[in-house]
Amino acid sequence: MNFFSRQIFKEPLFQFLIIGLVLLGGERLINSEDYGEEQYSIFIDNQILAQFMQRQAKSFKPEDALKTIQGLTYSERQRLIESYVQGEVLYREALALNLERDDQIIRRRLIQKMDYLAQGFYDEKPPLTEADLRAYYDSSREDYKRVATATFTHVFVGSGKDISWEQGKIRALKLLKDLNVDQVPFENSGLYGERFLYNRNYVNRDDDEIASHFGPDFRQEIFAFSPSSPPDPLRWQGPLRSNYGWHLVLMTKKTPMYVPEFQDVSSVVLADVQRQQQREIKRLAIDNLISKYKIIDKAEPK
Amino acid sequence: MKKTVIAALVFANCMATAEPVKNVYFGDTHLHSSYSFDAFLNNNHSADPDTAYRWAKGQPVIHPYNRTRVQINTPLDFLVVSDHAEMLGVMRAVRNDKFEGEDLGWWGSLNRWYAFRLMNQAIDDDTGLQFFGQFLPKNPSNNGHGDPVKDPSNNISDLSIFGDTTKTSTIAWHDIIDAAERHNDPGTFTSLLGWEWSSIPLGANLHRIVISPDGADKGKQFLPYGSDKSQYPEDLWQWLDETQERTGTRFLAIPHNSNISKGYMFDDTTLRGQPIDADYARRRIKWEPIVEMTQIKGDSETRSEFSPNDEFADFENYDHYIQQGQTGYSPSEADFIRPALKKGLSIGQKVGVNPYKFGLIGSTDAHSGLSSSEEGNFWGKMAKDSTPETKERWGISPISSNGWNMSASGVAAVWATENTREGIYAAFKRKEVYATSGPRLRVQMFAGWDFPKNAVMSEDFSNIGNQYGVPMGGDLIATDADSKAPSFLIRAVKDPVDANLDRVQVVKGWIDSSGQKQEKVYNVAWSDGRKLDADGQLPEVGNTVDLSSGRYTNTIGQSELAVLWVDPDFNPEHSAFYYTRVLQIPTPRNGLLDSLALELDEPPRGPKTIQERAYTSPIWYQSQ
Repeated sequence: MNFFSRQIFKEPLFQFLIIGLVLLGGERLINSEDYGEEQYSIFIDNQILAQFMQRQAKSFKPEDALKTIQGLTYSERQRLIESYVQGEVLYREALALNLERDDQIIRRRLIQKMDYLAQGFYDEKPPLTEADLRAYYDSSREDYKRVATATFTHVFVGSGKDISWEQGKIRALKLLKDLNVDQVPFENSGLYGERFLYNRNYVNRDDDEIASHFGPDFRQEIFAFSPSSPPDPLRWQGPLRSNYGWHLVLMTKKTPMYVPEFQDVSSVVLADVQRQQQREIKRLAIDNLISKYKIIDKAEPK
Repeated sequence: MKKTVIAALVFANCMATAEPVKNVYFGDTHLHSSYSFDAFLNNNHSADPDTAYRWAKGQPVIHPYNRTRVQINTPLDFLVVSDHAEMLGVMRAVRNDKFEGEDLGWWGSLNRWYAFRLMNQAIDDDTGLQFFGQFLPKNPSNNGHGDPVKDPSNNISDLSIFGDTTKTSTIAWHDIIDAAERHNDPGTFTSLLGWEWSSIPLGANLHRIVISPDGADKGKQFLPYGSDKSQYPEDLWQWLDETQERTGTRFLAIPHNSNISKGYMFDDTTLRGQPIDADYARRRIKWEPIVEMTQIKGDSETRSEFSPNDEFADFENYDHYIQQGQTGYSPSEADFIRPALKKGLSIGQKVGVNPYKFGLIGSTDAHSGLSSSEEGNFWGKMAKDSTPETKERWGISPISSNGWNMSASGVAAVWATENTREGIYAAFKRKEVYATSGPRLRVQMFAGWDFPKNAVMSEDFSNIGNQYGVPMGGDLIATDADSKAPSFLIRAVKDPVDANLDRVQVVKGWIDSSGQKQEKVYNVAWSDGRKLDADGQLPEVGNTVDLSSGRYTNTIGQSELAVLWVDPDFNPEHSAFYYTRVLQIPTPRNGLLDSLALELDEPPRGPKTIQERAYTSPIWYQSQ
């Protein structure tokens, strides 16, 4: 609440309002008999007319508007007053008849305004500690997981176009034997097979990208392989089938999906906790308001 | 014998790796978040820079208008959150009661309070777009062609009602920088600092994105320079120069939406109407080495008015100026990039420096915080035009376009040695970049005098290209007395998760012996074994889009097209540029998908299908 009262005291209009009320009160003490019909008086000044005119014109330049108002002829001014008065009277009478109740548009507008007000309470949030962040991280580890990646090179045998899939597979199997017998290293992969339209080598590439280049079946199969790298014997594996042909694969590294340590993602966690805190403060503010009310369900069986 | 061959090949491999291997990275240099005043007024209240980065990296996020969970299909490699410098963060701060301003005295404060109230009311009433309209040029006259800044009817936006917004904008700028620093992950994902300078005298769009590869230590030493400081690009360059001098920050500026610049973006003269001289040309090309070819608000390559023999001109024409009222759209040569590249050659011959010797990229200019360039996964230009039922009317609009005038567009592709700020910035500077209208097409182009015959199908494509020629963005230097025609080594590969390719074309522009500007489009590689006719025309690839389901198949087109092409009309006396255009097979446009969902007979605006495409940066040949 502090925040709003502080803000409102800074508002010049609020200051005027206070001064005005004091003056008005004093004046009323002196001229009290003139005010019996107060609720049926409509006060008009240039400021009010200027605001009214701008809203009608959907053109918002207060200084120009005030100048225009000051320059109006008597009859122009009267016409403007008439149309303002008509709206004002209808508005007041509608309120007197309680027409704003059960009006869905008005209801929605007011709810929206309260909703925005509730967001403002975030300014009074308690400071976050590292323990808060760690607790959040522990409870939402899944959100921080890193996708699976693989490092591999492949030797490609195009199939299905110039040669059949069966011929391609036979050729690939023969090549596979050579690659393993000769212990062909990663960097010499380019000396074998054909050019593939995407990459020859894939270094720490994630599983989605691998799937997009080779197809979902390929992804599943390659992540079932185990890596091999020097000084261990190199293990060329396959052939695996993509939309374009057969692939012989030398995988040197595979990182399954994992959740990074807290310190590696702490800045992301902080942002997430702040967002969550903001939502939570807003929810509490609204719950707090709700708690003032007793909810009686008349239809509920006793 | 076999051993020697292998040894020789290995040796060749080692030689080749002396040139660092370049990868292609895809990103967006032009994205607005809730910190931009117009984005905020158009229902983006929640998608801040953090949301923008999370979307770009592939995480699910909440859409700022329709509140559904949305996710990009293929994540980006880099992103620039480039909010408008003018009123940076102000609307958002006002709305959230966080505005910090100067003391304007009681009358000024009252005015400001009133402006805030109107703004809040407009947001409550859902008339934000109309309120935004107050700040747009009102039915500006477009007669004559003088200095639009000095024109008496250049009466844009009296923003002074908000007083000095420096405090609020500084907080916003620091938020934007902090988000970029948090999300920058060298080698995996790059964020670059940037903003938009939004000059729009008389409704002529002269906007530039400014980007920098430097980090928070430099970025926090200045505030983004906006068009409220000056509407002349020369003043922007001057500021970039001074700020670079003062802080050591590096910058470059990217003009965009020249298609709605009313003939001012690539003009024969400066904005003040003075002839372009060598000094101006030098400054311009120093600060503006790349331009945006295509984005959500249309494509700026060329139109049939200026390229009558190009059957693929008029791609995603966008005929709506950023202004109130309905001043008729009237395209000018100075609005489009192919004519500008030709004009650049011509000016270069006169003054010695080509001011329009720029590379090409695409970007989105989305204001939803979501870099949305996937046609079937398009989440709007503004936040509000993100659903079929809100595309037609964004509100009571003072602007004549709606959501169906636009398509999901704009990706910047860069050939860089690493996915880092330095790597990407260096690629921009050497123009080794290209534009796509959304799909992640992989395109390479090299020009040289003597490529090996088997280069096209070689595994070592890039190395051969670099060794025997120059990549896109480069200059082809004539070898002495050798009037042999240049050849072009070109390779295009489809987006792994998108449509097949229809064809590859080379667009050539040159200045002939009588000083006339000329252009020609060559079909150089195509799918499905089609035959060129005597005029070099190619039959259409066909169309597999099922108009009743909005689906297509890859039964036509090819996944890869490659060619070694020699210019058949080369004349060593004619200065020229060459760029590659790659076309996809037709796929459904967002309007078709909407019309099916809404059970309408036709999309309310725009074509049913779209041939997405890529444009490489040109390679220039300078006659001796």
